[in-house]
Formats: sequence, C-alpha cells, structure tokens
Amino acid sequence: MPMRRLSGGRWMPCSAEVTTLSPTRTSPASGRSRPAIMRKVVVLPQPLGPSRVRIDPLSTSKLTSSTAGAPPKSFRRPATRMAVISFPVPTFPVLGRATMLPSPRAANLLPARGLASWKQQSRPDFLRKAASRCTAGKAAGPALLINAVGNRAQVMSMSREAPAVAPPSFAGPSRDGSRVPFELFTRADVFAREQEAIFRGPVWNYVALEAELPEPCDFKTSFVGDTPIIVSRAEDGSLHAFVNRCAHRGATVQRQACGNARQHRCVYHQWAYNARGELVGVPYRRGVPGMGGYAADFDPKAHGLARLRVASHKGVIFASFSADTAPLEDYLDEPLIAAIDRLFSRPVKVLGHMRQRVRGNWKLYSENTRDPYHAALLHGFHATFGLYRTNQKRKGGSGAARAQHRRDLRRRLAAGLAIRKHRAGQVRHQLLAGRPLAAGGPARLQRRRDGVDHQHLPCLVIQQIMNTLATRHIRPKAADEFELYWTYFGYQDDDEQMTASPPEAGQPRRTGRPDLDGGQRGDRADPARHRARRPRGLASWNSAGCAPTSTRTARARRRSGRSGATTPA
Amino acid sequence: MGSRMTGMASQAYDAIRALEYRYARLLDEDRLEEWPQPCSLERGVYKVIPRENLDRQPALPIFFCDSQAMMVDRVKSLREANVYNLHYSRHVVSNIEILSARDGIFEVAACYTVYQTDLEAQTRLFSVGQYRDVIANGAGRAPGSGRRSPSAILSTSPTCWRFPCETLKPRPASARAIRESASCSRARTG
Repeated sequence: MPMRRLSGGRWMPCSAEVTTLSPTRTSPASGRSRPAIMRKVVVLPQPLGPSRVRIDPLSTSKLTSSTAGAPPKSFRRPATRMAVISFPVPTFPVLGRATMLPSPRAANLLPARGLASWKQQSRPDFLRKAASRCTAGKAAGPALLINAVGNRAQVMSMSREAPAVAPPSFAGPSRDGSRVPFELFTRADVFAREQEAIFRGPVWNYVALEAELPEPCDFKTSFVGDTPIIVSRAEDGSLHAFVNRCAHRGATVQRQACGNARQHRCVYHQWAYNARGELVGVPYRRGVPGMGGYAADFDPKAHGLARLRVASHKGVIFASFSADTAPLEDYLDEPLIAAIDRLFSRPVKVLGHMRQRVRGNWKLYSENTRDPYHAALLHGFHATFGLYRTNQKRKGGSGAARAQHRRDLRRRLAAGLAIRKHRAGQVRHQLLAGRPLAAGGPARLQRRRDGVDHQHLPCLVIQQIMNTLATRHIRPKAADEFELYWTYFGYQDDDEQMTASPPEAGQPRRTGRPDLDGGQRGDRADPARHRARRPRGLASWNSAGCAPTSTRTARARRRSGRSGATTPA
Repeated sequence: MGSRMTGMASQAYDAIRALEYRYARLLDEDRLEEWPQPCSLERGVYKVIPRENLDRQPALPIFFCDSQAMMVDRVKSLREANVYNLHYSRHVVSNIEILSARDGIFEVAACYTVYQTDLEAQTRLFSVGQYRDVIANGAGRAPGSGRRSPSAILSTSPTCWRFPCETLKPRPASARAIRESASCSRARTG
C-alpha cells in the first residue's frame, strides 16, 4: 500500500512509506474480528509532529475473557495477536502481506507442525533454513514475528508474555521420550494443539455406552476433547454423533445430560435438529406473514449440526471427527478388543454416574493409570483392610511391556501428537478377583480376569477393580483441568446383591428408613429385623476371613472351577 | 411451624437443630472418632448420593455405610489409608425443616454448605447440597420406644449429595463428612 506523502515539506522516499498490514491471528476462529491495522511507519503531517515517526512496538496482544466467570470454567479466550515487523529488513524482502517465519514459540500455531520439530527448530541453523524458506516465498505460517537488524535476524515471541529472544526456552522431549518438559502439561497453547491434533484428529474417541441409549431417540450429551457433542440413536436404531452447537449462532442445542428426544431444539431461535443432527426446523423461514424470512435458496441440508463418524464395538461407542481414521476394529488394538469382548460379553445396564473435577492436566491421568508404581504406595485402603498384600504376585502382562508402553505413550504425545494407532495399555492393580468371566477366549486373556484397567488413548479407561465395572471418560476442560466422568455398569442379569448398590425400597433389610428417594413406605420400622442384623464393617469382613465381595467372589470361583488364585492374604 | 409450634414440637425442633449443629461441629473440629457413635445407632445408615443419580433406582451412591461399624471403618480409612488434600472444613447447616414426625421418628431436611480452607488460608466452596435425615426419638433406642426429645440419629438416609448445577461446578463433594468423599474419590483415582 505505497502512498506518497509529504513530510517536512518534502516528498518522503517511497521506501519509507510502505504500509503493511501486520500479520495477525485471531482466535477462536468463530470469533474472528478485524484487528486494528498497525502501520510500521506513520508519517504525521506538519506541523503536528516530527518529520518521521517510527512506531515500532515489539508486539501487541489483546486478551479478552469471554466471560467474567470464575474457575473452573474454561473458555477459549478470544485473542487477537499481531506480529510486528520493524525496519529495516535488508535480508528478507517484504513480500506482500509480510515476511513470515515460523517461530519456535509459535510453532503450535502452525497446523502441520508438531512438537517434535521444536527441538529441531532450536538448532542454530534453524533461522538460516527458515530464512531460505522465506526468501523462496514458501513460508505460509499464520502468524509470526521477525525483527531483522542488519544481517542478524531475531525471532521474537508473539505471545502475550514478555517478548523473548531466540533461542526458545522450550526444550523438547528427550529422544527416547523418557523425559518431557513440564510445560507440556501446563501450556494453554499445547492444550489447544492437542485438541486439534488428537481429539479432532484421526482418533477414535470413546463417547458413551450403547446401554445409555437403549431406545430409539435416546440421546446423551458427551464430549470429544473439549468439544460438546450429542450421541443419539435414531428411529431406526442407528447411532449418530454431532456437535452440540447450533449451526445458527453456536448456542448449546441440547442442554440435558441425557433423555429421549425426536428433536433437539436450540432454545435461542428454536432451530430444530432430528436424531441424526439434520436441520429439520427453522422458525419464520418464510417470514411473518410474507415479510422477512430466509432466502428462497436457503438449504436446510447445508445447515445441519457438524457430524462425527460413529462406530460401536460390543456396545462401546466411539466417535471421530476425521474421515481418515481407520475402521474401529482395525484401529483398536487386539488386547483392548479382547478386553471389551470379555467385559461386554453380556448385555450391560448402567448403574449411575460420578464426576470428578481434577485440577490437573488430562495427560497426567492417562499416565497415572499406566503407573503401577504408585498403586501399592498411594492407595493404602486395600492394604489397611487386608484386601490384598503388597507382595501379591501379579498375573498377566509384564512390567517391561507396561514400561515400554509408557514410553510409547510419552513419545507419541510428545512427537508431533500424531497418534495413529493406540496400544491398549493395561495396568494390573494387585487387587482381588471378582467378575465371572465369559467362557472361551485365549487362555492368555483368561488369565487377566482380576483387577484390570484397560485403557485407550486418548480418553478412555475401562475399569474392572474387584467387583466394580465402570468406564472412565477423560474430558479435558483446559490445560489445568479435566473432568473424570464415571459410568458404572453391571450386567442385566445381575441380581440385586450383585449390583452391590445399597438395597433400596422394597428390600426388607432397608427397613426403618422411610423412603425419601422414591421407594415404598410400607417396609419401614421393623426393629426385630434390625436387631437381627449384625453390624458389618470392612473390619468385620476382614476378621471373618473373607472379602466384602465374598458372595461374588465365591460365586466366581465356583463358576470358574478355580480356587485360591484370587484369595486375599 | 414458627410461632404456632407447640411446646413439644418446638422442643423437638430445638433438639434436632442442636443435633445437626453438633454433627457439623464434630466434623469441623476433626473429631471424626466421635462421629459415628452419637450420630447414629448401630444400624444407622450413611449415604452420599450424587444429584444426577437420585432419579435412578437404585440411586448409585458415592459413599454408603449401612452400619455404625462401617462408619468406624470409614474413619479408620481416613486416618490411616486415604490421601487427600490437606484442608480445614467448615460445614454450614441451615434451612432445617421437619418434614414429618410420626411415632417418634422425624424426617428432617436441611441445606448444607461445605467450605474447604487450605494451608495457605485459601477458602473455596467445596459442596452444596441437602441433608435428608431420619432421626429417632430417644438415644440408642428403637423407634418409638422413647418419648424424649430426639437426640440420636437412627439413620441418616439418604444423605443427598447434590450437584450445584446452578453454579456449574459439578465437583464431587460429600454431604455428611466432607473428607469422606474427598478421600474416597482419591482412593478410586487410578
């Protein structure tokens, strides 16, 4: 944008008057705005100012919270980031929009660039290579920052922190993945990159159990990473998943956690979507009466909710944003498929949910469930009550295999976040047995019958600890926060005692408790029965020489024809 | 009930309120060992139920003790086995209301608020919910056997653990004994 200007009564040389638009980046994409233009050279007319004024800030960044909410809410913070180019740039010609170089600290903003390349970029020849790329006109990063002085280029931070000077402080993961910088667990930009590369990448994410959607039009709201979705069963029984944000203005469409609905209607303007996520209703589409309305060529088919691919294996539902993800059965590892086949061999029923908000990075949880080191040390409950011995022998899997898997995980997380096929890691807690297992299957798997966690990156843990079955869904909220969402389940043919829930209304031993949560009233107050019941705590269980799961355990032993293998200390 | 409360009802209400306050104070003063005995009979029941599970039958609890012995074990677990964030707790009980009184058994509802203060003196809201108590008339006696003012909890069931959805803070928290749920969640982690 060359403009001839008078300055000090003389024409300025053209070279000093080139006005460029600083490279800018606004996030989130939906909140795109027009940031202010920053001129690299501002020439004020006489007599208001000096003949030439150079505006040369290093960078500007506007950070506006989208809400005044308090933690632990996590919102993507709209930010406008502007890179500034200062003069002169003798080495790099300014071409068009600006000279762009990938900055190591801004590498996360480059879609195709992974964390692994950060280290590479920190090599001394990084700038030279980048410069040559730039000179060749191939650089196309969304935003970066160059300050070239003389023949020496400096790459400056364009983040909101104080401008830093290369080399970057970020040290990449070690070559074998055994060490990663703490920053990987705390940086908001890494978190954003994970959402893009992992959760919205070529990955199958666990989202729900089919047992939560037994009937046509049943739905459940869930998450893929931090993206809210609806998992739905259509009238014909097919499964669907779509983003729970209205195609119109982005409002939350379905606000209930679960339910049955033929239509999902956004409360804002009542756009309605069917159980497949297709737009089926737009109020006043033809106007009122005859006035206004949408254009004649408005096509509802083009405005459905963003759909995800859905696949289910034995009633465990996975979803993927990517069309490149391999079919689920190919994608899942054999051990995980075997585990699902075993645990979901019979129809299951959902017993309830629990939630934990954890103030930590989601990857810490993924790692924790692969960390057998802590189990016997931190979880003192079982040892305190004699439910297992510290020196109890493990069965199934090997420490080396687990350690190898841990390394794999770290390396994959660190190396460009390009996780294609995840191993089903498994950690054996040295707990007691419980679940009667499906017959058949490889003997190797049969041996793994007690106390097993099956994990699937990035967000699923299937729990079989003692006699409890659950899925744990990791739902990242921010770099320093995630929700752990538990879905407890049992088998449909479990009897009341097997369900292991406190006997509710109708159960004789619950007498004396007026029903306050929906049961019957007639069974209250039977003092004789109360007296007959022996107080029974964990201690008394233990002293009696049997585990709390004695009924189930004994039954399991009878069925399997084994004994002793899972006996407590 | 208010001013029209009869003398006996007023006496009962005062006793129930005193019981609720004492219960909260025992926990706040870390006198956990005293928690099971005065607050429940041998067959007392203690449950903490997430709000979103209330509609289910059976309602899946986050914590469940169906006898005083289990409550004793709970304390033992807290003292010896569990690891949780170090904190002081403060239970605030309000809106105490007698829902029904029959044969010396009172159904009582109350609201609770639990704050946690960490060792750096930072206080945060930990949980908000409702107590649903069943309180028997007569310490240590079976329901209906005494005519004295209520002084013991026959069973505290169900103790609702409500998610404060209005604040969008579905954080696991317990109702009756704050540390229980904190450590219980921890214990399950991993």
